[in-house]
Amino acid sequence: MALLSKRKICKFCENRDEKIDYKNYKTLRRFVTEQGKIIPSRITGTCARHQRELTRAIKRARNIALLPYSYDVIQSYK
Amino acid sequence: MRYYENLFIVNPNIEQDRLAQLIEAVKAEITRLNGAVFNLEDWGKRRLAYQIKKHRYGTYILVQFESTDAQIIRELEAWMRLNQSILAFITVILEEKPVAKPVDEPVSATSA
Repeated sequence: MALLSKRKICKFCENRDEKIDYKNYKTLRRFVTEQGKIIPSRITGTCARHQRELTRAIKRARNIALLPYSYDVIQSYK
Repeated sequence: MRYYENLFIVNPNIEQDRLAQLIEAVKAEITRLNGAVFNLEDWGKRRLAYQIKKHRYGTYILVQFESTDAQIIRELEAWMRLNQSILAFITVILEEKPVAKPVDEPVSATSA
C-alpha cells in the first residue's frame, strides 16, 4: 500500500489531534527502527516540522528509558 | 508563570509505604520551593528500555506543577539527584497549562 501511493503524507499533519509527546512512547516506537534508530522523514513521510518535534520527543523518551538508545538485535537472540 | 512536568523513576524494590512517603516528599519539596502541584500520576512498575543502576524495572511517577521561579528546576533536580530511591528523572517545560486530567493520560497510564 505505502509502496504504491506516490505521495506520503505526514501522519501528524493529517491527524491534528495526535500530539507528539515523549511520554507516548507507543506512537514514537513506529518512528524508530528495530535497533532504536530514528527513521528519516524521507522514509516515513513526516514533514520537516513534525520530524523535528518527533526527534526531540524520541530523545527525551530515550533519556528516561521509555525507548532504548540502541538495541542489539543479534545479541538478543543469543 | 511557567508550567513544568517531571517524570521520575523510583527503585521498584522499595515498599509501598516508602513509595507513598517519597511521593509526599516530592510534593513537599515542590511546595517548599514555591511551586504548586497540579497533577500526580503513578504509572506503576514498568520495564525500562535499558538498565539504570542495574535495575531492569522501575516505577514511573509523573508530576506536573507550576512556578514563577525558574530556579525551582535546578533545586528540585539537585534534590532528586541526592535521593537514593530515584533512579532517573526528566523535567520538561509545558507549552500550555495542564488540565486536571491530561489528555494523554489514558494512553500512557492504562497500559502497563
